[in-house]
Amino acid sequence: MTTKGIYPCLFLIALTACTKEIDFDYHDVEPVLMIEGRVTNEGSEVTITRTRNMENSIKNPCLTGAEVVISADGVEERLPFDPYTNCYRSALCGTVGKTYHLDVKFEGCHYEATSTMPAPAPVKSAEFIWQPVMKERLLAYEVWAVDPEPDVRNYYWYRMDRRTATTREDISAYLSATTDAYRWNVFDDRGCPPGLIYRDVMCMSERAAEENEKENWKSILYEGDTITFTLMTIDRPTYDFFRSLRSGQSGGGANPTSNITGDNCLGYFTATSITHADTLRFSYSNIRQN
Amino acid sequence: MLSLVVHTARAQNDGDIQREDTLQEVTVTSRSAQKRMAEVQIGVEKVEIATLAKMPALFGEKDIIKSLQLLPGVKSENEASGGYEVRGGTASQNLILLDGATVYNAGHLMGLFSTFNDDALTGGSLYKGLVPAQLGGGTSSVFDIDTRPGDLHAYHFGGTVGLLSAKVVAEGPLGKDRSSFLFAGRRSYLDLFLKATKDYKDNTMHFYDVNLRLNFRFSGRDRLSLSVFRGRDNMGIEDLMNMEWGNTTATADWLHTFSDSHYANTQLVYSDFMSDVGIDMLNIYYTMKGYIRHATLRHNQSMTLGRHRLNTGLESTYLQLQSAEWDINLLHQREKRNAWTSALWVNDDWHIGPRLDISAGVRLHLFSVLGGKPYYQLDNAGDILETLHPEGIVKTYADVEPRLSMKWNINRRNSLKLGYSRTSQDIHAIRGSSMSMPFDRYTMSSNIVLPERADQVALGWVGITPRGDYDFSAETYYKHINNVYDYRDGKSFHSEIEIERLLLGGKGRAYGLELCARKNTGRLTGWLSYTLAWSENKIEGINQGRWYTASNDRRHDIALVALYRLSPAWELAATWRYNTGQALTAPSAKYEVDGTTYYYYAERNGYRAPAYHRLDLSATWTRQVGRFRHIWAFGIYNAYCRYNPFVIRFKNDIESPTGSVAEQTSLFGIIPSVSFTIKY
Repeated sequence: MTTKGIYPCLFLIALTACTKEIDFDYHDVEPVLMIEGRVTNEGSEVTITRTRNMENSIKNPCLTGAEVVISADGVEERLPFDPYTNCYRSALCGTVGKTYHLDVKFEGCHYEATSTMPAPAPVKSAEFIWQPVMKERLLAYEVWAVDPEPDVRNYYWYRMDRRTATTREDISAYLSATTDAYRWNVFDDRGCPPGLIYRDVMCMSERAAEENEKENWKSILYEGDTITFTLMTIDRPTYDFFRSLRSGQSGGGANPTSNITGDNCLGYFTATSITHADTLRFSYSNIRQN
Repeated sequence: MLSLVVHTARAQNDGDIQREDTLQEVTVTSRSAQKRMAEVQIGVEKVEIATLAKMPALFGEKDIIKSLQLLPGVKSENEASGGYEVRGGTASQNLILLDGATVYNAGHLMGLFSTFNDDALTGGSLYKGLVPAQLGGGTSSVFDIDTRPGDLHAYHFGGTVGLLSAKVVAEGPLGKDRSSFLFAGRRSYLDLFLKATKDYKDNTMHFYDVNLRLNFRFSGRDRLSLSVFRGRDNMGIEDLMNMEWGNTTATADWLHTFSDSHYANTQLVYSDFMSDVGIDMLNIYYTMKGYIRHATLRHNQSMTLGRHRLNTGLESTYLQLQSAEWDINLLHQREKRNAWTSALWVNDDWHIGPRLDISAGVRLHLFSVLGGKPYYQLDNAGDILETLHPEGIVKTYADVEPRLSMKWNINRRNSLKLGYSRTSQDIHAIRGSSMSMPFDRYTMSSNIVLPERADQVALGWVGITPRGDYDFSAETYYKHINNVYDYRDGKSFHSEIEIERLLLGGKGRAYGLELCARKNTGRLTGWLSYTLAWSENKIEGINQGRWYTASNDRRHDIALVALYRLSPAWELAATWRYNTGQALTAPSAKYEVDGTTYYYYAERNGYRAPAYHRLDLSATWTRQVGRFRHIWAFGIYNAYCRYNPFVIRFKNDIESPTGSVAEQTSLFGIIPSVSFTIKY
C-alpha cells in the first residue's frame, strides 16, 4: 500500500463516526407565551404566539385579543391585529435615539419592555467571494457597511434571504416550504476598521453545490437565485437575546435572554434601524476569487 | 506498547519516600491486595503501569488517563475526551501532578489520547477528593504521577511502532551506581502521510511528548533528580488556521536523608500550559492565546516517631495566568493576572494500635491576588461599574483545610474506613461545553471570583479472603462544593475579554456508592466495579435558580476488567463498561422567531441520552529472541460495534411528520489496532 493509500485508510478506521435518527420521548409542558416586537424605520409590528409541543409540525398563528401599545415621549400608538400579515401592526416608524416602550396585556397577564433605536448602518457593498480551503472552495457573501458610531461598540443583526430560481421542482418545492432565513446572525463591531463594519457570511462549499445532495439544498445557492440582505442596528438587550438564542440552540440547551419583564414569557422587543444591500441575482460567473 | 522491563526505583508516593534499590520487573509489580488492605487513606486508587500495559486501548495507545475511567467513582467525560470525572466533579476540578508539577488538559488530539507516555511512568495514585494534607489544589481529585528513574546498572533501549505514533525509550547509568538517565519520546506520524499527499501536504497534524529524567546519588544521604516533560499538539489547515497546545514541566527534587526515620524533600517546580489558536481567512483574522504558569518551591519533611509518621511542609507558588490574549480583526486585547499562593501543612499517620490507624492533618492555604492589572466592580448583568488599578496585594483568601482518614480493623480480613476532607481550588476552567477542551478559558480567584471549596465525607469497608485471592470494597460519599462557575446564558469565551463578566457562580453536591470486587491470583485476574451516583448543581440564573442534575450525572456505572494469562507468550485482556446515559438538556416545546422554528427548554439536563456500553479486547504476544524481546499487541476497540451517543442534536426537518428530528452522532465503530515493540 502506498503512503497515499495508508492515510485515507487510517482515517476510515479512525473516523467511523455515524449519525442516525433516534426516537426521543419528549416531555409535555404547559405552553409559554412568545412575544416578538419590533419598531423600525419601516414600521412596527408585534407577533404573539404560544409554544407548541415537539410532535406538532403546524406553526401557531398569532394570538388575537391582546392589547398592544407602543409608546415614546408620552405618545401612545395602539397596534391593531392585521389578519393579512398575521400580527399586530402599525405604520409607526421609529426615530433614531428615541426609547420605545412596549406594553402588552393578554388573558390577564401583563408584559413590558423598552428599547432605544440606534442609528442605521448604510450598506456600502456586498459581493460573493470564493475562498480556497484545501482542495475546494467555500463561498462567502461579504458585506461592508458604515459604522454609525465609530467610537462606541454597536450591535448588528443581519438576515440574508434567497428566493430560488432553480428549475428543479422538487428543490423549489422543498425550499418554498420553509420561512427560515437563508442565513442570520448577530455581531458587534469589535476589531473593524475605523468607521466601517463588515461581515463574511459563509454560504456553501463548491463541492456541495456540485453534488447537490438533498441534505444541502437549504445551503446551496442556484444560478439566478435572488439574494436580499437586511442589516439592522440593534441595542445590547436585543443582541443578547439573539446571541443566547443561537448558542442555546446549538448545544447550549438554554432559552434566550429576554428583555421583556412582567409575567413569564419568551421573546424580545427591539427598536432597530434597517438598511438593505442591493438585491443580487446569484451567478457563478460573478463571484470574486479571493 | 509495554514499558521497559527493568528499573531501579525510588518510588515517591504522597511525599512518602520508599527506597527500592533492587532490580524489579515492572510487569509483575502488581500492587498487592494486602497493600490495598493496609491503606489508611480512604478514596485512593492506584494505577499500575504493568496492568495498564495489558489492557486494550483505542488505536493501541496505552493511556493512563483512560485506565482511570475503569475505576469505581471515575467516569469519562465522553468517548473522545481525555477528561475524567471523579465523584460528581468535572474534569477541570481534577489536579494532575507529574513529579509535583501541575499539568492541564492532559490529552493529545483534543483529549483522544493521554499526554503521558506509559514508558516513562512508574504509575499513579488517584485521590478521589479525600487527600492527605500535603496535597491540595483540586476540589474533585488529585492524580499524582511520577516519572520512572533510569536503571543505575545497565542500559536498556526500546521502540514501539503503532498505528498512530512511534515511541522510543532509553535508560541507563551515567556514572555507575551513582547516576542514571531515562529518556522517553513519542511522536505521531499522521502528518508524514499528509505530506506525501498532493491535496493535504500543506496541512499540519501531529503531537509529541518527551520525558527526561536524570538521577544523581551524591552520597548515601543525598539524591537529586531532575525531570523534564514536554507535550505538544499542533494542527493546521494550510495558512488558514492553526491550533497548538501543550504542557512543559520541569522539576528538581533533592532528597536528603537525616536518618532511617527522618528525611527531607525539597522541590523546585516549573510548569507552563499554553494554548494558541488562529484563523486567517477572507477578512476574518482571529487569534487567541492563553497560558497558566506555575513556579513553585516546595519543602517537606517526613519523620517517624514511635507510632507516628509525621509529614510537614510548606510550598509557595508564583502564578501567572493569561485568560486570553486575542486579536479580533484589528482589535487586540489581553487579560493576564498574577497571584501568589502558599500552603503550610502537617499530617500525622498514627498507628494507634492493631485495630486503629488514623491519618489526620491540616493544610493552611493562602491565595493572594496580585495587583498591577485591572480589576473590576460589576453589576448583576456583568457590566463594569468601575475599573480598578490596584498595586500590591488586592485580596487574600485563607482556608484552613482539615483532612482525616481513619481505618478500624474489624479483624485481620475486614476494615472500616472513614474520611473527611476540605479542599480548595483557585484556578477555574470555564468550559464552553460538557467536554474539556484545550482552548477553554481559565481564570484565577480574584476580587470577584471566589475560591472553589469542597467538603467531602466518606465511609467505606474493605475485605479480603483468607489467601488474598479476592478482595472487596464498598465506599459511600457525600460532597458539597461552593463557588462553581459557569458561563452566563448566551455568553461564550470571546464575548468579553474581562472573563468575570461572563460568569455566574453557584454550588454543587454529589453523593453515591462505589463497590468493587477484585480477583488477584491465578491465570485470570481483574475486577468488577459498580458506581451508583448523583450529581447536582444550583446556579442563580440557570434553571430558575433551582437544583438541577449536572451534565456529568450518570446514575449507574459498571466496569469489568479481565486479564488472562493463556501461556507464557500470550496474554489476553478484555474490558467492558456500561453507564447510564448522560444527563441531557433537550427541548420540550418549540416556537418561531422571525419565521424560524426554535426549541424551548423546560428544564436543564432533564433528559437522558441512551446508555453507553462497550467491549474492548486485546491480545499480547511476547517472545524473547536472544537479548531482544519482541512484543506484538493486537486490540479491538468497541468489539461489538455499539454506536454510543457522542452528541444528540435536535433539528428542524420539514419532511418529518413532527417537523423535528433527534439525531445521534457516534464517534467510533469497531476499531482494530496493532503495535510492535522491541526491547533490549
